[in-house]
Amino acid sequence: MNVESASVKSAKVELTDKEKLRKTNRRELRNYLRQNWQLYVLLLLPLAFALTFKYAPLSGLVLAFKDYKIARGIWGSEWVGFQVFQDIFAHRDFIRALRNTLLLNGLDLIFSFTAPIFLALLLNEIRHSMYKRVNQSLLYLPHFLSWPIIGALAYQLLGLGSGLVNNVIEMLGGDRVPFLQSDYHWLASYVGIGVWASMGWGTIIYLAAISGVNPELYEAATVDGAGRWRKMWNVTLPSIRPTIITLLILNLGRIMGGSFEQIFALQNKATNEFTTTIPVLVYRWGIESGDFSRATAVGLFQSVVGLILILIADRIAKKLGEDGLL
Amino acid sequence: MAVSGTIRPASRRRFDAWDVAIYTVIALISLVCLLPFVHVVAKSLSTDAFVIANKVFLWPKGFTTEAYQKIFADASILRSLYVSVFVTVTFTVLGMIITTCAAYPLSRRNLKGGAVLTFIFMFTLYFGGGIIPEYININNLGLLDTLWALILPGAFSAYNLLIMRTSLRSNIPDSLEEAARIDGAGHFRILWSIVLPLSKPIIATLSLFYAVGRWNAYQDALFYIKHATELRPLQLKLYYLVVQASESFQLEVSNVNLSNPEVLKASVVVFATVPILLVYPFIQKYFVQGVMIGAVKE
Amino acid sequence: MKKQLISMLAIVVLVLGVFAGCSGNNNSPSNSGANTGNQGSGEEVDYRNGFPERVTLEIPVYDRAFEGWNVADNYYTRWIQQEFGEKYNIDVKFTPIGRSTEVQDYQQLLASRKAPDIIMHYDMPQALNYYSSEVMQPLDVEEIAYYAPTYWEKMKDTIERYGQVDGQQMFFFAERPNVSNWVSIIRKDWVEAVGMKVEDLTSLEKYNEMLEKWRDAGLGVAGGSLVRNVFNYSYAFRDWPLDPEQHAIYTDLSVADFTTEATEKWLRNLNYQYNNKLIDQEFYLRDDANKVKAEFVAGRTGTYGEYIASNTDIFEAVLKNNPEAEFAVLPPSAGVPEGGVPQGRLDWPFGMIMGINHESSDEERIAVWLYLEWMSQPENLFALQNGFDGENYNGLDENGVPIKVADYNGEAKLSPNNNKDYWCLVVESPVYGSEEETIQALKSFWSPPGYEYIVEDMLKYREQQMPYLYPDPLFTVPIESVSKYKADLNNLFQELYLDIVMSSPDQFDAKYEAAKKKFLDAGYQKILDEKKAAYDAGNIIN
Repeated sequence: MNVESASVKSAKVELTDKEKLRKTNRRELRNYLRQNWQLYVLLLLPLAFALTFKYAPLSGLVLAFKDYKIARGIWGSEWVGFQVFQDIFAHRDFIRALRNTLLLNGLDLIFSFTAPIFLALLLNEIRHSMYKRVNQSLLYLPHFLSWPIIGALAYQLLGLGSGLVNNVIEMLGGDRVPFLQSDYHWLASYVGIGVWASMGWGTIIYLAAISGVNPELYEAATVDGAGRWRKMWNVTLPSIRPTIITLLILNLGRIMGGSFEQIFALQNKATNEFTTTIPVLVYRWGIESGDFSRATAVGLFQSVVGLILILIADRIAKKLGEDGLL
Repeated sequence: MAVSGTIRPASRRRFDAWDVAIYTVIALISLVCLLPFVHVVAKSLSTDAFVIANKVFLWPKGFTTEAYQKIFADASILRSLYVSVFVTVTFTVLGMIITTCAAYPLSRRNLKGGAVLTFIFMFTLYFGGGIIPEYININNLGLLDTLWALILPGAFSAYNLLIMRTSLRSNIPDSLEEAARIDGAGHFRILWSIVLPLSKPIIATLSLFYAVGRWNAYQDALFYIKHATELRPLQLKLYYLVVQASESFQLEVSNVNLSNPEVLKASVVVFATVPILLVYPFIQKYFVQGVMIGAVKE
Repeated sequence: MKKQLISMLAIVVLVLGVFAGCSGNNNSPSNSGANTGNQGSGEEVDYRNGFPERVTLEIPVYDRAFEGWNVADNYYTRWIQQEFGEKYNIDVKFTPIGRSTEVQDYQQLLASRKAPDIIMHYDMPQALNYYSSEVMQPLDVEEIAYYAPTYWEKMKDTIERYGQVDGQQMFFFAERPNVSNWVSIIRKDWVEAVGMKVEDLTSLEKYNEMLEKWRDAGLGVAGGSLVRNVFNYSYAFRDWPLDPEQHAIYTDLSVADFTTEATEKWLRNLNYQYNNKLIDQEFYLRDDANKVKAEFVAGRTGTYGEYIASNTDIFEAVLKNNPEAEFAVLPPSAGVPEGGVPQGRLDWPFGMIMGINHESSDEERIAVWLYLEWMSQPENLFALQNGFDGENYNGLDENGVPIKVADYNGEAKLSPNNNKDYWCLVVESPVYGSEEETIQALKSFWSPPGYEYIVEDMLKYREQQMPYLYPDPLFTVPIESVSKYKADLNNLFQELYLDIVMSSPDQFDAKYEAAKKKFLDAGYQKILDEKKAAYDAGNIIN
């Protein structure tokens, strides 16, 4: 038997092995589907909703590449390729808006994202259930005030000229502080008010996650001699880590977004270093000017950046051993 | 031996200094959250003139319930309240069904095509068509001027879906599922008998999110409900109440001044917020620890 | 990696699939079924007595969400259908357009092809925007004259003069009587407390003197607000008589004339007032009417302006907080530098600007003319504006003004703004005979009880100011760069002017120079160039 025929024979065997593997895979697949078809049936409903209401309008994204004229409709409008994007990136306000968006959302992520976690951990330590309940209900109140109201209140309290807090400061002999009327002060106030508005409501999800922690873990920790803080660090936090990671990744995807309402409520035109952001531009171009092509283009930019960030964050999370998003 | 309710006597630990500190910090933060709301309530019970002059802080000045009388005297407000309640409840129920139907399969790590499906769902979180394409879509579906335009589009929320999936993955281990499968249960059975009862906290949470989100929002109703004015939800009605009272336009000659909205704005906020605040205490009892003990013998 | 590629592929397939599904529903290549002009009316078919087949007419009506009032279905819409629709075999349907969301509403309706037969707006630049969006169809004035003779008789000058764009007749209008109820009020008690009289305020310099006295006496400051969206601040500082070209190129309600000398003078004055603490030090926070009002009501500022109406609450509110307050009208001369004249902006002689939807058929368009004609008949208009004798009012007084029944609550009740949103298609405010008679009548609508003298003074000053009031320039071609840049320039203007006003006087010149350049670079130069070209080409009215 010469080497060639031997190798041909072995090659043939290999081939059949691969085929065998594929056949096994297919059989496995069929088995899997037979056993788990119910899962896919369950998925039909959400899929139908997602397609009908979320995917259908996506065709409107094409407006980012067109010179939209209402009379011609989406499909009849003229194709301009990347012209709209060029306009946007070259716009004098764009770089500053980009910087501000990242800055404000970044600070938001550092402070507004973490505050509810701490608060939830603290709330978890409260053992008088009535006290806990009452406080929780109070903590949720800021979530129900809309930004225009919060803005008006903020100026009533923190205004330089006649704000209540400044009146008190002056009465106590201090100098009035331009909480909202000087650039860096404004930044701090913006972040602070953002934390105030969202921290109470943000605890809900973490408290729900905490309530799913197996109490036997706490018992075991007590037996090991762990004190309150130890338990928090070694039992509670790790147990809610998946929730934190999920929310972190989701929020990272919004780094290029955010609401213009919070800015509009707190801004004033004399303090404008940090108050132009990408959502503000979307509002200005989309709603105020009715320039749909531009607004869609900026929206697309935000979405693409968000998606890329999520994919990266997901990768990192997986590398660190977490479940990640996908 | 499933145990529910609060934990047994671990309060053998004394109330120490840290407890005092924690209780105080929480109380302070709660106060900071409460006071602005008190301010709004105070404004809602004050006389216009003092509210305009920004003289009202925590206590009403020139006490009057005129704004509330105006709200309650308007029969259409009551109707919009019913509309809001109907829409919110339906929306929440539908949303939870959809979310659960998607979250359970996706939480199974061995689901074939799971990553792709998750991606498809998650994609919708960040990519949207914009106001006009969405409007055209709703129009094409024939949903304009119906309550379904407020219920159906938002019922699928990828955000809630992903949160629930995470929760199910952590709390419903594969071993539980396997045990049930060995017993011969199909996925529908597992979902109904095992997963749902064990997921009360997260279901309560997401229901709250759905409900509050739907209750507070009016921007979509602003554009989707035009002809059918009797279908206006509460928040939209109240938005109009405030807006039409404050409009004055440069190029229009108006011979009529509409009533000042400052106090009206405040009372509208209170009126729209109180109902949903009352919901929370009922959800409270689901946020209780230790629901899962004893289900799995490890 | 592979999973993510598959995911992306799945998305693309989904989206494409949905594209295919949607584009079938949605395409509108140019004007489907529209008319590029109309056949000579009256030649073939005459609809003056109605239509052989039922025609559906869709009329837009502003929806301000008044409680208890359905704009699309109420006593008056049914009355219109009965009196007008039935006579001509027309189904009159009203499309609600949210007042504060009107442009977006129109955009959505137009995009989904459900827009009413009339596309309307008060603002000429926005109307021109609609024109540029190709949503209107050209009109034949003879057709209007044929089907709406009364309306045409009243409006033909206006329509022919102002309604042409790019050589085509695109717009038609509602009449605007020459009335204005904007009044500037000042705290008379403050003026007299510093030993002056309101009549002494004959120039800006005297006014500033008075403000200094106010400041020294610790009374308060002049009211101020943030200039935004509406740019009519520089009139008092302009030269007189006006150079037509300057006026054409620089005067624009929606874009500030930032680089003119008038603006420079205005800025210097504001800078002076701000630095000497004569004006509200936080004026930039007052970005809406309510905030300005708050300062006046609280007694911190001494001046305030509004569109006065008989049910205004401003006086009562101020008195509640400042029981010693007295009020007077601030003469327009108080804002004018020595040697100048009180120039101001005059509204155009038209109110609502309207065009016909490009998708409306000939019959629908003709139905619009018939509707306008019907509404222009005095008895119909009067009924819409005032209601019915024996119901809403009992007889007329000597001015021809109905004597209202107090608190009438019958089924013929008018809307809270007196049905304005229905008859605004033909006229902007009620007319009672001649101009004088109308003003007499409107006085009663405008005067709060006990403050009739305010309205009297307001009218007196307006009389005096009339020779110096003039309308904005109107181009017969759309100025594209205005719609493109105005939102950005609005924002930039606010940043720049606040920076200049709030800096110390020695920095003024340098800052203003730099600011002018910035403003020009941000698109203003393009606007000026385009306007000059249009002016030179003669594409301008008056």
